[in-house]
Amino acid sequence: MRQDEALDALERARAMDTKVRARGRWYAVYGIGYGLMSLVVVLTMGLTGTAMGASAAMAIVAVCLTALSVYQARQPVKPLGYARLHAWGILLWGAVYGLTVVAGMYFFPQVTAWWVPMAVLSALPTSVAGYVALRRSRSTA
Amino acid sequence: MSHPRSRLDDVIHAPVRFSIVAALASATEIEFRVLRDTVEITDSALSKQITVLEKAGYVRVSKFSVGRRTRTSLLLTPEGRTAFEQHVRALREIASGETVRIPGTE
Repeated sequence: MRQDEALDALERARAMDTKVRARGRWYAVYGIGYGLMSLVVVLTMGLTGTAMGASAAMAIVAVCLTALSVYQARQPVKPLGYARLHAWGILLWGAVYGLTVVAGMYFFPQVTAWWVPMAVLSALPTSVAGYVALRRSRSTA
Repeated sequence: MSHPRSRLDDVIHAPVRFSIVAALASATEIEFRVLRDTVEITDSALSKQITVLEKAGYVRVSKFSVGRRTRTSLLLTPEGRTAFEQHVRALREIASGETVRIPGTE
């Protein structure tokens, strides 16, 4: 194999990588969708402070998680590294969500100054993961 | 020191198979129809090359149902990934000309 043939093959590999990574931008929709779900759920649960509010929040979670799971399962490409990105996003979200709900119920029931910023914070981990996925899908390197 | 050419993988070396493996190396999993469109070949040509890669133990094929449809998903095995990485390393060496020696300079 000659030097120019090797360069040509490497260029082809790079082109394939770019094409495949571009098909990974679906994760941005998933991550940001998950973040929005968290925002709505935390606000519903925290600001209503009633059993009805908690039930409504759980219904929103059930509908959104089903929709997001179906959306994820239908994607034809799972780009490399997304499983780890997803795991980190969900792990951080779980920690923030758990802290928000537990501390909120005991110490800040219906306190807007607690629930609103924490709802925004709980939306960040998966949204950031989605943004990272979007950046990766656009990268040509 | 052996020439990097000797480290090129015979299975991956064919241009179409190289493109297929390069695409699969960028993902955990790719559906057949998307891989076909990415590499820009026909269904039958892709099937043929996948059979070769599967026999070499480089690619794993799995089928699953989404609604009423059966979909075929492809992924690179750890052996396939290692072979591809080694192949790319050899290509980079050839491309950079690192191992090209000029007689009488040693």
